[in-house]
Amino acid sequence: MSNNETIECADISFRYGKEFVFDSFCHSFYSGISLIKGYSGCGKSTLLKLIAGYLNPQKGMIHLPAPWYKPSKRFQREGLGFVFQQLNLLPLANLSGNLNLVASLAGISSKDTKKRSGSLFEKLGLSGLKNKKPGTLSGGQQQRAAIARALVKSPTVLLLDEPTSGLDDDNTKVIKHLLSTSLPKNCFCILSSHDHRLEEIADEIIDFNLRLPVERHLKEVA
Amino acid sequence: MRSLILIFVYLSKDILKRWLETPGAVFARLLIAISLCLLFLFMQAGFVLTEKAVERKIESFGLNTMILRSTGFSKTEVRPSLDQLLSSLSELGTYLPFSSLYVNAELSSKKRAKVIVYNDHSIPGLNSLMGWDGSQGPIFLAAYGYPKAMVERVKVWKFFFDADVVKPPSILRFISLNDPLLFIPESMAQAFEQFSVQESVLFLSDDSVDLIKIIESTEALLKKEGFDRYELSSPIKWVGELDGVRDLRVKAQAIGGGFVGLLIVLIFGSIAVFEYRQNIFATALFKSFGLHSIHLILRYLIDGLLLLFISFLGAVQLAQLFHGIVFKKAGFAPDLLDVSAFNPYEISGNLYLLILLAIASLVSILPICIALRKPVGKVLG
Repeated sequence: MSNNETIECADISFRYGKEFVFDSFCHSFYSGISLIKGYSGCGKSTLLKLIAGYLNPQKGMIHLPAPWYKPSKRFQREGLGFVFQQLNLLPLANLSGNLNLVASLAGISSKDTKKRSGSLFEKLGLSGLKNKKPGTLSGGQQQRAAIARALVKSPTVLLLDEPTSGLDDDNTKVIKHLLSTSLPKNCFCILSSHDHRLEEIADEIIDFNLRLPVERHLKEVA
Repeated sequence: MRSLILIFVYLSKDILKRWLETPGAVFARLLIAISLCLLFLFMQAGFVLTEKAVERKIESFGLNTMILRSTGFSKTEVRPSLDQLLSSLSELGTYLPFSSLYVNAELSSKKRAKVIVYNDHSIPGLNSLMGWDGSQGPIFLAAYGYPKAMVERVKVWKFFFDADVVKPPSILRFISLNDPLLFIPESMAQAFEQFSVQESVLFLSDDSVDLIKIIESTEALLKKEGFDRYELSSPIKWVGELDGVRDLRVKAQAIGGGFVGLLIVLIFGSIAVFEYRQNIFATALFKSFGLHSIHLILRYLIDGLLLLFISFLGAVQLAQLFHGIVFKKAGFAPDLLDVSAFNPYEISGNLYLLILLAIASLVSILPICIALRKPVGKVLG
């Protein structure tokens, strides 16, 4: 049953080809930070894409909090912030341009966008880089910029797919600090990661390895 | 609105970047589209000029004209002459029976003239056509480029004549285009009996509607009298020819247009798909922000339309530049080829091609429309 306080995965089934990634999966996410951990291929990223509406479940439903109720284009424009593992930024726009474009799609005024961008750039240590094109930035800087872009519209649902993968401790620390201090009120932040460094900021940890068949689990652990 | 402007600016940058990054792809598209448009424009212009030429021919001869020529009779054949059969036509309009000698006259300039023998029945017709005022002698030369009232010495076979020069009416082009004609009365042409002649009748009806009936009844009479070797031509028959040219133009437009459209769809479509695949991640990223696919489709549509419109304008300029050279070689009269007087490449006259290009660019992005249906989650990692 959906309500304004949860993201509900109701009996979700999804498969790539013949292999099921989810078979009748059920879970309720509450506001705060939820960390999904597990080995590669266990379905962490797929679940985020299903919640975002970037993939459609073959069976079951995703229930989102009001006013979205279910994944839609409007939800993606106004209520969702998504950070992909890679290829996150539009290459022809500078960092400010990237944030402006997303904020304008969400219907945020240019004055508010400027204010929010400035604050996020400062918190993420990107103030001096806002006029730079993504191609001139390091991987860590690009990842931080992608998080700023996801947060600029103060999303109801923030989904981050391996946000710290390949990042050094300093970069990870900045991201952890931002997520623990600057999330919008009642935001549902779901992180998929196998980075143990993120566990300390999570309100809930879901271990997808426990969903795997025993033989595969033992193999992955070994 | 702000978002639309920002998206438009970004996608315009994207188009420009692609153009600068891969000038070869842009150049290839332009070159192919310009060549195809140019071929199509020349084909269209060819038809339009042919129609114009036929229209002018009809105008210059007049719709109410008919000429009948006997062909291939032997001298021993016994039959009534065309003049005997058709003399009643003199009551229905201007009637000019004559015979062309199968020997040419030689002018003082060594130029040759066709020799026309006329009889008494021809005189009213000659009066009417040539505006005779009685001052000319019986032998006269109808030729352009001579001073008025000049007398020209001409030689026919072994005889010399002095001929008064008169300016020919345009109707005489029916007999011999722009070449001079030497008119000799029958009474003075007996010395040429050994030469073969071709009998002819030139007739100008008082009414072009009547002429259709006159042509039909003349053909029926000739058939009844056993004439099966004759040639009857009239501008009124060319009207049908004109309709034929117009029909052919419509068919050629459809087939040629289809061919041009198909090639453009294949070439522009392939390049658009290639560029889309190179740009697939940025496109998917846009979609992940909740942007409708239509905005992304527009990027490819604008790209194609822009290049095709530039190609169209380029082809129009080139066509105007080479119009004279191409169609002069094709045998059109120089006065028809002056684009400042008659321009077959005006945009308003070639809307069909513009619409065709727009449709082709629309069809060429269909594969992208299909590709954009792929869920974002299957493109972005």
